[in-house]
Amino acid sequence: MKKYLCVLKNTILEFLAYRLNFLMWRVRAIVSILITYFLWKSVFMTSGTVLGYSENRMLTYIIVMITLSSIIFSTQTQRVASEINQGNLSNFLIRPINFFKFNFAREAADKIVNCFFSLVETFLLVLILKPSIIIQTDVNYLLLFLTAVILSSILYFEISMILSFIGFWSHEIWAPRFLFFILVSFLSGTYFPLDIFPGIIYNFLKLLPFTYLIFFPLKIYLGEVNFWQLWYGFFTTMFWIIYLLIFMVFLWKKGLKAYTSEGR
Amino acid sequence: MTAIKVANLQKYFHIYKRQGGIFSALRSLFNRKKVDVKAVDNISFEIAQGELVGFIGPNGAGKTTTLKCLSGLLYPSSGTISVLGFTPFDRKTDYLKKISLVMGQKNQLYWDLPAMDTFKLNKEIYEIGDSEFAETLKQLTSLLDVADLVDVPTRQLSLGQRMKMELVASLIHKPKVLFLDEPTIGLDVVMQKAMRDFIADYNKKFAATVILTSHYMDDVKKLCKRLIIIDRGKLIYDGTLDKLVEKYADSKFISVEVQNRITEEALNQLGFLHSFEPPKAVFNVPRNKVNKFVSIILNKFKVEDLIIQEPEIEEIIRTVFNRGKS
Repeated sequence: MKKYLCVLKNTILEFLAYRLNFLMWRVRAIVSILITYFLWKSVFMTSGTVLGYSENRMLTYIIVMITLSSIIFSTQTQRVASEINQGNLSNFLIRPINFFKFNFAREAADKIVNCFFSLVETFLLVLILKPSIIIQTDVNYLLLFLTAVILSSILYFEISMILSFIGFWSHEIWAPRFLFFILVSFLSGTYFPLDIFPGIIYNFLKLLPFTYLIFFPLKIYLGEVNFWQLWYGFFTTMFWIIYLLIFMVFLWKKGLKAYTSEGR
Repeated sequence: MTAIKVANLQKYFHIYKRQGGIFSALRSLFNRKKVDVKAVDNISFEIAQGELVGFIGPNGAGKTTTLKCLSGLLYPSSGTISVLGFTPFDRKTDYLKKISLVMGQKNQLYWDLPAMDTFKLNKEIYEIGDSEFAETLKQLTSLLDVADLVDVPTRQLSLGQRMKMELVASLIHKPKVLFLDEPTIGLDVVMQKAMRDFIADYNKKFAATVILTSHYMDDVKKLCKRLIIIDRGKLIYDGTLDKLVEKYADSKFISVEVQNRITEEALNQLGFLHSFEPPKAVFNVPRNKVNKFVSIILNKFKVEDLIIQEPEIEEIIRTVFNRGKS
């Protein structure tokens, strides 16, 4: 356990090694919040509700969505692909360390840093802009929200890790990752709430894992889920977490065989 | 005691062949030619505990592949390997704690952090106690003369300093078996020597078994009593350096400086002339004729200086490789 804490600590130190770079990264996050915020604000200038969302529901959706996606979509797993391609994976295989636990520790460090700064930034923006957003005060909903966020992070870790494992078979890892990321952002609801889709499409989207990355936790935060929807959502999330876990380990074993050229 | 035992090791790689040009590139999307490359072809050897063995061969001879098989990174196509009683490919924790593989071109140090942070991580990974860690670290850093650099971010170190830090990181758990793949690659002569001295020291101080690959002959000459030479996957020599010279260097160089003026023709009559730059002539004479040849020269000319030399190791190894080809 101690070794993975050390990995966590070192990853945080890595973040802080380039202070200016880190600062710019945060500025980027703030600017993107501001752009989206003012865009939607101007949309609501002309009408009271858009796509069935009232102004403060939509602004809440947008602000929480941006904070959430900067936490959930932040990942270190893209490093795995280049480690595989450049052969540095050998450095992990040669040391008595569990690959997945190592990466999970690295991921956790990333989340901690991003979580901390995102929350501080959002808090400041809310203070300055004073938007009319919904603050969830029901502890039950907040706890469920927190659980959903943790599960989403695990889910995204698996998805992103699986993408990185492409590196075992191909040197072209950025194109698939980039394409996939656009698709994931869309399907998880970072462009607009997914329930503005017609019923059939929305029902289909609810079967995919991506819905549960952003949209589902957000709906919980807004308090817009009933008992049955909660069950359905958490059950589907767990199903995908387990399914993708099995698939991820399967790919890892298969990839390792290719890497070590035909192992057992 | 035997530390490493390799029997009939073979490692084949499947690669896909394809000719240059855009059409054959397109064609290869559908129809690829699969070729087996024998990277290591039926190699057997044994290495005793505490031995320092040099592994040499030209690029692509199979040195690195063999080391990777030994350290458990590659799965052998056939044959058996046993290191300290373990089968390397199982990569058992107990095994990994006893070995280390240093590859000159692959780094484990955190690029943006001081080397110390990597050392501390390895301390936890290998579960080393505080006092033992402090002691080993002190020993290694003073042997390598980098004690004052452990807190400098890796990216600010020179190549030589970085390589030294890589070594410290790889040796902090005091491995019983050490695989070094081109540890001196890209280093200048002074740094190469420092590395060499360190490797010899480590081998003695920690009674570690060391296998070293290199294409710098100096590394091997200065460090290793025993040599294993491989070429195109096949083992072509396994034995001491002295025996290698005896076996493959069937001639010696005799260089002579003569007082009186002589012509090249006169020297040519003696035979075996290798080169002639007045007043110095060099002859390449078969071993069994050396004595006779020297006495002839001493009789015929007024000799100022005469030196009998074994050929350079590089030269011998080149002959060994050339013989392998024909």
